[in-house]
Amino acid sequence: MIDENLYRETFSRLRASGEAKKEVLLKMNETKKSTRRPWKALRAAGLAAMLTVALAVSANAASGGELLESIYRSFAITLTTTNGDETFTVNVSDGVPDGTIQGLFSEQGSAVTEERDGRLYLKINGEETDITDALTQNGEYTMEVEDGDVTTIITVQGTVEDHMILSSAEDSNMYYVTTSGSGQNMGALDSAKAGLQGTEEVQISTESRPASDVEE
Amino acid sequence: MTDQRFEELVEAYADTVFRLAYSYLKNRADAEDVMQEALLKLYVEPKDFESADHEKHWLFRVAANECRKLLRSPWRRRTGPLDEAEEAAAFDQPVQTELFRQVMALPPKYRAAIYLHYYEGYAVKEIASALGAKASTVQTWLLRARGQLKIKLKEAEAYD
Repeated sequence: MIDENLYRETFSRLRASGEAKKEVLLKMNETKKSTRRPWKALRAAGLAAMLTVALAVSANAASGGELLESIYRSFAITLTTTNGDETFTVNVSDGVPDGTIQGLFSEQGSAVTEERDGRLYLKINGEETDITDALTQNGEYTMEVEDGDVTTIITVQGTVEDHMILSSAEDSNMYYVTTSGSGQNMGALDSAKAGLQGTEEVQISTESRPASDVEE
Repeated sequence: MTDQRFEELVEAYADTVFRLAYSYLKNRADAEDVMQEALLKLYVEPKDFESADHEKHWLFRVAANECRKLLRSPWRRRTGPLDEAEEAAAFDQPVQTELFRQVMALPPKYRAAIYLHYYEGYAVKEIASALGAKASTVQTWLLRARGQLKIKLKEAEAYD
């Protein structure tokens, strides 16, 4: 049996920081100025930024990294989600916080492909698997990665030369997508959209236009 | 809702919602995000609550929902042993550190159910409603959590 008093004493030490409490009051004030609900937009920005980066990343890799910023800025993605009584829309171009982008790159780094001597290797957390045969025979390779409480499902679809990586936590309705080849592979977006099945209704639309045209 | 009322709500509920979120997520930054999200939702969409308990229960439900979404999210912050050690360092007695360590080693839904039962004094039915689960399922979580804790805490005691 758990000693209730000991449990209470112990867990009463867990408290939100003063900064977090101040921040919520600041956000309250921001809410009054904006009807776009920035904290929700930030959450949505995760998926939108993910897709933006997915489109940009291959072309960026091909250019040695120099093109990333300009390509990233050239796309605007609108994500509209309806979840019960919540509806929010976010336009993303250069408005995504740096932290989100860095976080996504960090996640992306955990599952990458590398082509060597005509073979394709899937590298996850430093371990690599030759997936050439599976991809050639089935057009798809799937692997489950256990990480603490979460099982992530990594799927590579396509060919050795032109493929995409779909990464999603088990039962998640969000997909993390990376494309190879031209980086303009809209098929990846369609697949992601098809995979977004759950209680939430999600519409994703993309268009290419200068960042300066994107409404704030 | 007036600013003053919202400030009072933050003062009253920030820590308690944070504790539930931390119990779920085992990560301070994520738990603080969830606490803010839940409170701001209350600000933006104020409801007619029958009582303070009803209001708190609603916040728990929103927070638990956000926690589940975060746990499923592929870009959730990962928690390392250092995060837990940092929180554990705040305890005066080794017995508290051990209890904290062993509770945090349980699966997330067990931790949340344990928190609502032992800290908030919630009955099984109330926990089920807050966590969006069946009462029988919550009963099982609590039984298993107690069983696991009993063994682990005894082992730790014997080791000392």
